[in-house]
Amino acid sequence: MGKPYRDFAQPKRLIVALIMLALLAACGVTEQPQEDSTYIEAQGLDLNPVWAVQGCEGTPNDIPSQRHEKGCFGKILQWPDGSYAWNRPGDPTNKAIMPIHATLLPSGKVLTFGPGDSTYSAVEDPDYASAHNKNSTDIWDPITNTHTLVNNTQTELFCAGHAALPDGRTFVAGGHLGKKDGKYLGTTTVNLFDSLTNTWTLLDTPMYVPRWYPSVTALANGEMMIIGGINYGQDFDQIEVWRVEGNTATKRLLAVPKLNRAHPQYPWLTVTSSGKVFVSGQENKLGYFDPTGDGRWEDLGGRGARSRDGMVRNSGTSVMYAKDKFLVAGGSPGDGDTDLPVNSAVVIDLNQPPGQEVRPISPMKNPRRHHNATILPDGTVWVNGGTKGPGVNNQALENRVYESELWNPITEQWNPTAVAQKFRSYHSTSLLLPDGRVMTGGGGRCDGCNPQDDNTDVEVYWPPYLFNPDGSLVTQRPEITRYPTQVRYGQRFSVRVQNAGDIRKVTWLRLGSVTHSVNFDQRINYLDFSNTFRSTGFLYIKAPENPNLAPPGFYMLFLVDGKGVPSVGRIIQIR
Amino acid sequence: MHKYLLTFTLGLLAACTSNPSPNGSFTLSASPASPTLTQGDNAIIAVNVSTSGGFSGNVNLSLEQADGSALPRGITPSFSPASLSAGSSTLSVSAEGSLAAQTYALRVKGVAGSLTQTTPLDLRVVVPPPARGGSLSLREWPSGQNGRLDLEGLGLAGTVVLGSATITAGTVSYSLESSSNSDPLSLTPPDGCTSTVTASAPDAKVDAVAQISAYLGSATTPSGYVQIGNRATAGAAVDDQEALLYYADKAVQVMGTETCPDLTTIFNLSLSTGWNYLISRVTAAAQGKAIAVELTSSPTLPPNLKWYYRTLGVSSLGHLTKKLPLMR
Repeated sequence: MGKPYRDFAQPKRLIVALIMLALLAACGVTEQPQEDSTYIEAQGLDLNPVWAVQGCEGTPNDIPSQRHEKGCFGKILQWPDGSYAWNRPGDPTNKAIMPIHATLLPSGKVLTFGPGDSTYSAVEDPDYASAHNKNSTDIWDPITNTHTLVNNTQTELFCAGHAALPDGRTFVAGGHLGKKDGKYLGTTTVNLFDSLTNTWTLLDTPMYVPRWYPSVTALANGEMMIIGGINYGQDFDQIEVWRVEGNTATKRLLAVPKLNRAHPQYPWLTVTSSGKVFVSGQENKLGYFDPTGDGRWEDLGGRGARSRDGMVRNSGTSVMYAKDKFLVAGGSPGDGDTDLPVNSAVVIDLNQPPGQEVRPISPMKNPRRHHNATILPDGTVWVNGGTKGPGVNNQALENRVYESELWNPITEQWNPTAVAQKFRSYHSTSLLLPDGRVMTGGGGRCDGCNPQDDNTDVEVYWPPYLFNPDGSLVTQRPEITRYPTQVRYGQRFSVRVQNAGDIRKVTWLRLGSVTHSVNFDQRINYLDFSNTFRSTGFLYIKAPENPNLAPPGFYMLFLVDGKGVPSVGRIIQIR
Repeated sequence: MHKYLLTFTLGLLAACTSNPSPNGSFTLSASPASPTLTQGDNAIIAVNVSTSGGFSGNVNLSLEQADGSALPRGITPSFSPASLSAGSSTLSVSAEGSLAAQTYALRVKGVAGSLTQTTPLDLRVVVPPPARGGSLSLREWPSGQNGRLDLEGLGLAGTVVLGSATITAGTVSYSLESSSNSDPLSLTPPDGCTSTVTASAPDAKVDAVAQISAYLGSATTPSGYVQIGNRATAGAAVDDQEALLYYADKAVQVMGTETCPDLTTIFNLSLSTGWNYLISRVTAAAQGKAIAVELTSSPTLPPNLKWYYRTLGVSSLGHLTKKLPLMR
């Protein structure tokens, strides 16, 4: 797709470089200047061939005349078999990979994995280390719908926590070490996935404690904070912070423990504009954690531990939809047979005075737990999947939530959107793709899940902004046809644009990394831009001012026009 | 004997199949007939084949010197299509950068069987405009620091340094190469916009330095970027002016108004051959965004505009960051 570089540019560049080196030498400059941004050319993406394979035409719930208002779910895309994927005890042939973990890579492809080689071994193998050390993982190209299998032969990654390092590699903390005495075990492993080489690397350094279900947070200074997770029924208070350079890691154990300030399993953590990590759930407690030094818990507004909204929201969702503003929706007050998921939602605005941060808003159309919330390029938040029945993962047909819905951050209202084909609840994932679509996958294969609901597949959600009123695909999307691959904080950079007759927003979304309804990396920035030269074909855009606003790493840059149609997101690294 | 006879017969058949004896005739024309192109650039010429008298053969096109000899080294033609029965073919002629600047008397030749026709093509090859340079005071450059500026052209593939500048304690001396990679001036408005914009030379090619990155000598000191304007701010307010370096391969006036839902742009450009300052002035703004601008041009930096340097912080990551390939 990319426009090939013109050959004759090379010698010219070389000559100029030589001239500059000579000039620098003449000036007495001896040190090398800092690394340049590199600009890359790209053409607009034609989604029509993608639509032919992955689109909604002929799917059971598609209503073409409603696509421009509700979007639609595409065809079911079966995920491939892996050598080290195993979904059912007693059925060794069920080797399809289930996308329970999904990460958008800097290449624009998606890393997914699910249960590993013997995750569901019925026999409690005393030799845990050798029995649980393999996991097939898949790299999916969302444009060509092709798959590349990459096996991890050192760790069973199932139920790890993961987020992106500043260099784009996926940092995967913990994993699954089987079951002992009926209790699940975690691992102390940290694995890195490098999308440049499609390889897994197990770091030599172990975590301080074994973790199954930990959360990982990419901090503003490039470090990774690991918190939570369980092992043999035990919760851990240890919070550790890692720095990775190449394949060498240094770690530190923070003196301050987690205590009950954050949920033991996949707590909701987000870096805010102060650089502190905000905890928005799943427990009914709000607070900041300052990960510098020994670590420090801070209450909101100095008024003591703050209740969020009077209820625990097990398996609900929280997203930071704007700077220091959170949408928290759904979840269950408990896991018992009488604990019904709720449809209620609140906004937490940390910019408000103490005591006024939390505000109830209109409820979702459907009660849900195990749903996913995905920030779209235009800043709306799309919610899909989940169950509305009591208990951990109620699968009764009448409790399955197939209808998705879209939240508008301006009106704070919910609108029903398309209806999915598959029941995607516990173990499901949703992930924004660079082309503006959303991958929804997985769901199922849990203790108590029905075998027929093991979703070793994906259906892609095509949001309303991709359609004309007649149901055809929008052909005129604003496009970024030249952009830098790397920017610095606060840098004003230019992009070349096409079809950019009406640009209302420029948004910047971190590449997502999601499992169990928690997207560890999801966040959005609205960027300042200057349109004064747009008629000559480009915009000036200002990168986020500092890493508190956008921790270092890879982001998608979108232009959104007056009709709400986003460009294809261009992936840019900020450092 | 039989073998030779068979070969001869097959040869005749082949000749008759590929080049049937045409009835009637054809003529050629080229537009423009006297194209001008810069060394290192290429020109596009429309070659038209007109037929008469029931002509039905295929015309094979080629380019040669007017006296029928081979083209000089450094001139490369490409016809698309190279063979046609009637209609138009696109001729692309490229001139190497080392080709002597002069007018080359050439002709387009069309051959159909025994019929041959030609049309003259006078190719004027010129040297690029001279580099523009100067010395400017750079506002807010760190005192006593040396460094360099990278001037990157937005219309070009990859990172291409169009020019260079050295900076000594706040004074930037710069020179800009002429841009041989320029893109054609596009006057087509984006979808949803209307335009009355016209150009006096629609075939002019343009380029822009849309990114000026500044690097100090030491990797431990902050780098930054340069903004040319009457003030260096992020938001737009009425009378804000900003400039960029804009290249045109020929003098051209661009006039008219482009009206989009969110922005009206008045073009009032008189571009000189070579590098110009293209200046935007905000004439109306709302919520920090321009909603109307006027674009003017100047061969020199207007006195009210300055080059502003903006410092960026030092990355705490440094060498941690490695480059990764990006999606299509």
